[in-house]
Amino acid sequence: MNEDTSAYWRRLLDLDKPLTADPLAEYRSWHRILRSFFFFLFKLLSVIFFPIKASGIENVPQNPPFIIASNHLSVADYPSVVAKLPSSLRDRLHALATKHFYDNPTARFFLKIGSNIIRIDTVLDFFPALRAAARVLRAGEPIFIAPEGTRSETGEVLPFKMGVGILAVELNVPVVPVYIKGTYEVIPSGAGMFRPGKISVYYGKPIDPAPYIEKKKTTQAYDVYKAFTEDLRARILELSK
Amino acid sequence: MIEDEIKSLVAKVVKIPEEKLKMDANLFTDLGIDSLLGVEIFAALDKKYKIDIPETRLRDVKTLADLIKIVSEFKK
Repeated sequence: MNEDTSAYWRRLLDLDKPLTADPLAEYRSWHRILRSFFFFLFKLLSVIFFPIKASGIENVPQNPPFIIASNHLSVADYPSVVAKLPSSLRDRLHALATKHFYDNPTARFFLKIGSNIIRIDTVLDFFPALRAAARVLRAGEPIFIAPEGTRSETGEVLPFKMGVGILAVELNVPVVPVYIKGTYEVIPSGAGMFRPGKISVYYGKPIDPAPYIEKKKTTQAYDVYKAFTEDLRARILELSK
Repeated sequence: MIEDEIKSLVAKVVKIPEEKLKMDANLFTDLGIDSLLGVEIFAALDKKYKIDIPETRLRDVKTLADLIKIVSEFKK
């Protein structure tokens, strides 16, 4: 029996609407001119104070669109994950930032230097951000998501929000699972300054959404997105071992 | 009866026995439905009745009775 309910979800993501001529225009801010300098400085500091060990970086596809999804411990997560990616890929990455940070002018300034930022309201309505993320992926660009939606204060990987599963399955894009360790010790929540430490970033093999897309024919869409999201979390936990 | 159809549909989507689904129970606080499962209920209604209820109307839904009211509104 056909249980596929994804037509409604696809409409929510505006997948039935054509892209505008330049769907990425709103993310191209002047802050980008400082990006190379920011990462140069970050890498310089990391060499001296918090060396970053990256494993499995070859698992990151060379050709977008794709999603990079990691656990979330610290504001140092994003730069740690992308610091060792080729600059051509790094400059194309878009990232979701919660309104808590985006609406703070100082935080927004640094966020926009570090990435092409999509504002997300995880409390009241996160569909506008999901639609924006879908447009970016449809335009052939990569996205970074921290599916926990907030930083973990304990180091434990929190339950994942399902947006990443919705995007991966409906846009048919692979998701690279990433496990980060050590960033909380380097920049804990609320700290104004970094501390010396060691950071490890493990990139896993991309998860192909194809089996989940097939599963939608016999299962309601919510269950498929949830299964994908739980699989992603399990893969990230495996990387932690 | 549309009430029975919707009750049956919601029970199937959220995977609880129909008899546990009371008309005035809060779907979110009493039954523990999260907002995205609420969206899935709209998706199932869309499939069954061909009605496109905006996801923002989820804010107007607390009980099964609220849901039936919205479906009736869109079916007109």
